[in-house]
Amino acid sequence: MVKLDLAIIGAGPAGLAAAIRAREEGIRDIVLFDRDERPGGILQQCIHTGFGLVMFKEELTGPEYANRYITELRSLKIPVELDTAVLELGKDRSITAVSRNRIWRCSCKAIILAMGCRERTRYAVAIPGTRPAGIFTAGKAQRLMNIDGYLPGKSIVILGSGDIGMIMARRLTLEGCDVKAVIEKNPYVGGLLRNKVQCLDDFSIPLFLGHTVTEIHGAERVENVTVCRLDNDGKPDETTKKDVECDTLLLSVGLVPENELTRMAAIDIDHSTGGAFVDNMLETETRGIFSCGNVLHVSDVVDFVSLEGEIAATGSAMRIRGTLPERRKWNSFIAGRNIRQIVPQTLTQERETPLFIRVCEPTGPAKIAVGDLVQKNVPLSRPGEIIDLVIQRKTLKGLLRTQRIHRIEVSCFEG
Amino acid sequence: MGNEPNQVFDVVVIGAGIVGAMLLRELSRFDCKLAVLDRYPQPGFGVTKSSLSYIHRNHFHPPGTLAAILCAGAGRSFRKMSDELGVGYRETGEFLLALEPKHIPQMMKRKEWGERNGEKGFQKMKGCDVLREEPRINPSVLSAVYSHGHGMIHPPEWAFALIENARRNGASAFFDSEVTGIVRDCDGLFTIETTSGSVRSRFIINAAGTGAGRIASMIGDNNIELTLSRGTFAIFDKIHSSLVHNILYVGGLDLSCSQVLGPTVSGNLILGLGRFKTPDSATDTKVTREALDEIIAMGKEIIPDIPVNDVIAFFSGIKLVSNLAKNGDFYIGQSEHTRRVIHLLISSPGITASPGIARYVIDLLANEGIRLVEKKRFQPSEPRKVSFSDADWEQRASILSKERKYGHIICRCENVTELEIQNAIKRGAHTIDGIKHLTRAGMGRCQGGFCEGRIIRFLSEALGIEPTMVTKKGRGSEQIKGME
Amino acid sequence: MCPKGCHTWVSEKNGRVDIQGAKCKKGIEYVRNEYIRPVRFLTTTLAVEGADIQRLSVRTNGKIHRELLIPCIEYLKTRKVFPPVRVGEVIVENLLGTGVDLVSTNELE
Repeated sequence: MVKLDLAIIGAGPAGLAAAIRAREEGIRDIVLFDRDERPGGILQQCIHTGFGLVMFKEELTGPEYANRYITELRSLKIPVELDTAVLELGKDRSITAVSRNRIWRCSCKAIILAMGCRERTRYAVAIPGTRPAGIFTAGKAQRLMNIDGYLPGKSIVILGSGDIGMIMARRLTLEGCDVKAVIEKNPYVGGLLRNKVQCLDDFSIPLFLGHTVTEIHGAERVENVTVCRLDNDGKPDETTKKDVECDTLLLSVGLVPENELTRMAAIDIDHSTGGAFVDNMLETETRGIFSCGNVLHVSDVVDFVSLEGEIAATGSAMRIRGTLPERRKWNSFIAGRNIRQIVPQTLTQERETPLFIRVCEPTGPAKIAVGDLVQKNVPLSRPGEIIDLVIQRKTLKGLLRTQRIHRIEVSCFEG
Repeated sequence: MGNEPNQVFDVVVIGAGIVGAMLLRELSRFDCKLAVLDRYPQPGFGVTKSSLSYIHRNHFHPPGTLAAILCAGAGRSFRKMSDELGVGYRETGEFLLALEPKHIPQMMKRKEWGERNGEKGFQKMKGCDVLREEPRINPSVLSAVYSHGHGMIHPPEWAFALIENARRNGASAFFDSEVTGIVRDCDGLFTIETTSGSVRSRFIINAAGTGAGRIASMIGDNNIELTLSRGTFAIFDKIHSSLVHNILYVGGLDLSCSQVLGPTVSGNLILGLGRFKTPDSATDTKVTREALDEIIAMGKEIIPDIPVNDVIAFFSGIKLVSNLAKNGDFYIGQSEHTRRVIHLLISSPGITASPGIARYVIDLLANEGIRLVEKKRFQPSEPRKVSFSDADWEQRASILSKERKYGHIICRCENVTELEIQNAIKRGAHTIDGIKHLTRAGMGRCQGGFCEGRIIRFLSEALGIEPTMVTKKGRGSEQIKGME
Repeated sequence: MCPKGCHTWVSEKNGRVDIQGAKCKKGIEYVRNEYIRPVRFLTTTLAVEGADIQRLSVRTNGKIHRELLIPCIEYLKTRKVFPPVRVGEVIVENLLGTGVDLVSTNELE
């Protein structure tokens, strides 16, 4: 049994930032575990730019962003156990992990969960038809191309206009493939507008809003897919169906935080985020177990992910040193008008708290109000883009020092 | 094909599904030259891989039918073989549910058939007692017939192990070999032509599943008509494995549809099959929107809060009934033109009946004059396959100390290691789906999202082929279209 | 529409481009480029030999004209990299005459 101060599960942008911050806060025995061959998590395959505008004030590619942290990690001599899969997590802060060299059994003073997320599959979105070769989720296709050097197909239809889908539309086009169309069920684009311009418009890739793929054809390999317009109830209108010939279907239909370990430790999951319930130190309801990054809630800006890693690390360090106050009151955020999710979900600690919010429906200019603690005006809001606010420490002081348990409504008011 | 161009087999089995594989293995106890031919890259890629995968107690067919005779003692046979072949088998109970009054006579009929077929231990239970055992069931359940001892297996894994054991005992197996013609030679032997060469044989067993009609017409038997019907299945995430513990069947006598939800040997839940539809062809296994909606609706009737958002896979399977038997019974019989060709037209439950079918066919062959001398050195056993997910930490530590690849997790959803995948490739799984069916890599909730790239690389390296030649399930289904 | 979300209007008269609605200088610059001759970073991967990974992710360290993206990728298909490579190392100087270098975004050992 190895005794560790801190175990961090996942060496992606959340885990890497957490490890460095924890060491900066003076924690000695830190081990970072990752199941992949190299650190960096999903950033390794995100070879495009758009990362680091907040953290480094530069426009970096995924690997460059990761390497900033990896270099720092190395100079701090924080061990990273690669090709190591953490298979068990206990509520008592125990972990069991396995690699080619050994089985790890660790008892930890604190654990940071940074496992990231996985993609929703063709089955999760229930697309009927055959089961041929040539169906990939967009992230899987990205990995096959950028890490393995494999081209998934030549003639592509992409379902979902999330960022990954649009980025792959560009990547495949640059590699000489024919991206026939991007199909999106909503009447608006799923990812960042910048990506719509630079990935779709740049290459004249047709975007069909308010459409979906209703069937996959092809016995051995994809031969074509049926595309339909959606009616006002969001149901496919069969009269509009059209077969699009292609040999590959890419799916960018959503990410799901990978909380298998979290569930194993009987930590409650928030259905609106898919991740654990946390307080504003990103500590879960289980003392000493923290969660950050995509495993907590799917983010779209990696800089915020790293920020979360830092917060979780600070919290862990305080837990390890015994300086984190016990949580007796759990003030919670309530989703009000047009709000889909709020992270963190509860407030227990007096500190500056970044809040990450998603709306349900897009709006024009709007005001996001967090009770009467803080508000922010935005020129527009979309579910695909997280809105970030910060609640100042002094604002929280008053709130947290009363006896009452507060329920703070977060709302989005258009206009 | 084969090492000796003039090699003549005593028996060639067409079709390496679980029926053909079981038969080949049983035949390999005897001193005769055997071969199996299959159109797919590995055993069990046809009907065998698309079913509920249960080994049922004998209540599907009334006494006196061939099916009832052949299903007798299935559980015992599978339990024994599970140890011998080192493949998975687990048992659970079954409730035949009456959700509406009309179901009651149906389930009682099945109880009666079971008992008359010699099965023991069927109990009628009141609705409230059923709810105590299965609290998530539709609270309006009226009553049920319960029986224990129903087996769960993964049939393609079994078909593979059966063929391996047959080969260990001298049989030959040819894959990617679709039969294209059968010719009777003047010396009375048959020449069977396939897409990868031809073989000659004294006897032919037609175990080609939904393709049996096509094979029969190659012999000139045009009297066989197969009525095909397609059912659909959905698999749920393992996080819901404790939703139900027993197999839950509704009603049970309607041959045109099937409504069942239950556990699988791997700890998932399976839901099926819906109202059967006629497929466009013997290989038309597409899943339709209607079929999906239908099985989900049927699932909700059984478990009102069935987790519809946690379906991780769905697929369809085709079963058959023949015109030569009544009421969906099996038909096993010789060709009209020659007594040395036997047709196996197997309806549901074919997997359950496969041990019985093997014994029956061997008796038929013995009657036709094949000298069946038992081998002195028949080896019934196959080693238990290394599995990380089935082992405990002590076993894992022990294996890891000898095999580093055992600690290299490739499929994180199902905890499948590189060692298991490399073993599967060595055993003959040369496709992505083939590895999936032997190791479970790619069967988890991410459906190959994390592991497929590595599996393609392993296959490419082990088989010495370009990654663009690696297929999902055989020629034509190459997964990668090019290299960067 | 500029990346920050400001709606802008572009009109052209007698060869002069007029931009309205941008809220900052960067916005005007961005919109002007987008209208006249868009520029982009190029990001791709190169074939690797002799290392533990198959592909090396690379980028241009400046923006190049959009229509040169595909010709650059075509050219880069003929290149191979060998270890060792540091993050930020120049792999190709002055890529296809663009005045911009192609640098590694990862390391190779």
